[in-house]
Amino acid sequence: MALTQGISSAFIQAAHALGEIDPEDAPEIARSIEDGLIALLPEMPRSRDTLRQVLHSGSPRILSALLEIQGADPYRKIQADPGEQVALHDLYEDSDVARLRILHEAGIRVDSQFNALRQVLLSRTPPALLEFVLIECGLTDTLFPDFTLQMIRRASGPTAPVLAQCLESLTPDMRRACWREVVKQIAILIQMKPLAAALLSGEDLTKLLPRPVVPGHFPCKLRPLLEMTTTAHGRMALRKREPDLADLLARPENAAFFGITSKDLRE
Amino acid sequence: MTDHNEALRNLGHALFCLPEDAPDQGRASFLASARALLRGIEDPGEALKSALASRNADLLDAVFKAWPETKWTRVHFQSGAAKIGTLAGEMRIDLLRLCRNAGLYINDNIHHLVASALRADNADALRFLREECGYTAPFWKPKDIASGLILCGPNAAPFLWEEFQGHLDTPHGQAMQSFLQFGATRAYLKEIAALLASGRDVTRYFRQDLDLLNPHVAALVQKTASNHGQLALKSLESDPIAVIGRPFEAEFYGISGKSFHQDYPPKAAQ
Repeated sequence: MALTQGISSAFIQAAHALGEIDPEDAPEIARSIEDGLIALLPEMPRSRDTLRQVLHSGSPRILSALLEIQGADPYRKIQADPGEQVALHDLYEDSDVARLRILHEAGIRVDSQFNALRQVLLSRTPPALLEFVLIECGLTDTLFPDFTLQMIRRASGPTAPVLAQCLESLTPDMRRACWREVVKQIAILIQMKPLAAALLSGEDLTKLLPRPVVPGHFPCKLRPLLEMTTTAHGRMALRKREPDLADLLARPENAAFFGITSKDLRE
Repeated sequence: MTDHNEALRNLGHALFCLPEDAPDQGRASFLASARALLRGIEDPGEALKSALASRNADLLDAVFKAWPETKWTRVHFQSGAAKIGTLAGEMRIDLLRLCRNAGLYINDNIHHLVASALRADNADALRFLREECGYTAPFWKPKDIASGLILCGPNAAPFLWEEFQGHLDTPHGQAMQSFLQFGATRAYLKEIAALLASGRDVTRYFRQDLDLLNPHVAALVQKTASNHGQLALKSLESDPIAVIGRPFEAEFYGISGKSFHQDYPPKAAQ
């Protein structure tokens, strides 16, 4: 017991020391502290505190070593228990995909703080984290279908291909739910970028429109485009005009989509 | 950016917390990192503070070597590092020796080591005091030789015996004046036994109390005044160091130290 307590205390202190080291500034020192921490891992208890300290150390190497030395089972259970789980906010905030990936590959939940993860994805849209969460982990329900419109509007350079890939690989039901959500929202406030993305969805948008809204509700420039989604030929023609969803999503909101800008719609 | 001071402080604490039987590689790695961090530290006081907090002799040595020209007594005073008395109380002779060799003045607080060394019966600490710090009478200096005598175990006994002889051979010395200071009738048996085993005439230390002692004990004391008596005492307890090194509750001259006052009450109480 005394051995474990002493080692736990030493581990905490050394993890703090590691936190003070800039690995680019002093790589050998960081490596040496990591070596020391890894040497202590077999003596550490299999508890939430150990996982917390390992995560606090900020080192993917130590996290891998922990799961290798002690096994992932105890930590899988800890992270599955809402009363016990260690918060992963810091990893989300820092887009620390390396450590999230290690947890995920060991079968440990990485979306235990679901709302925090969603908030980071929505507010900062870090491309690496987005790709990891949506594509690698397949945790599409963090954003879809509720926040499809916001994600399309916020998509830019590096996030666009990730979002495009994700939208194209959704299950048919989820896809339909996403585009229904987009169409519902743009029926209230028409925005060209999400509408253009919806036009490329391969769905018949007229069927997705909410009940009282009819295609006639939209400006006359858009009506032919909406009509085109009702037929396979029309949808192919739309694809021809905007063949790349990623390219479309990468454009700013005030750019032209299908030759129309949001400003044109207001005129 | 790396904060060398903070990192070193944390590593110092980590080294301090590591138990003796912790994996060696952990300790070695932390120590190597701490040494490497020293290169980025400008203030030797901060380094000394972390090294003393770690209680790690290798790190402390590295700190002293990293700033060889430093006036460590002043730096130590200003740094708020662990006190020398604390190290002495913990009997960290290795650290005290390094401090001393680096020029840090430790003698003002080193007397704390005596009590700890006696309690732990640690001969190394006593040897350090005498041979390296020049403490020729460590038992007498901090408090009272009688207290030291009562606590003394087998490892400390040779040192105390040597010092005790010195005090006995110093006529009118203060150490022996304070010996039996609470009156011979209340003294521990071990104190009396140490005097009996000394091979000297010790009747003078008892003065008028001799008449108040239990007759059996008084007879033993009076034996010290004659050669025949000394021989008789020697036949009962031949080795004075063994007498000094025995627990005070043990048996001396066939009398139990535990029940001495009940078994041999002073005359006044009879």
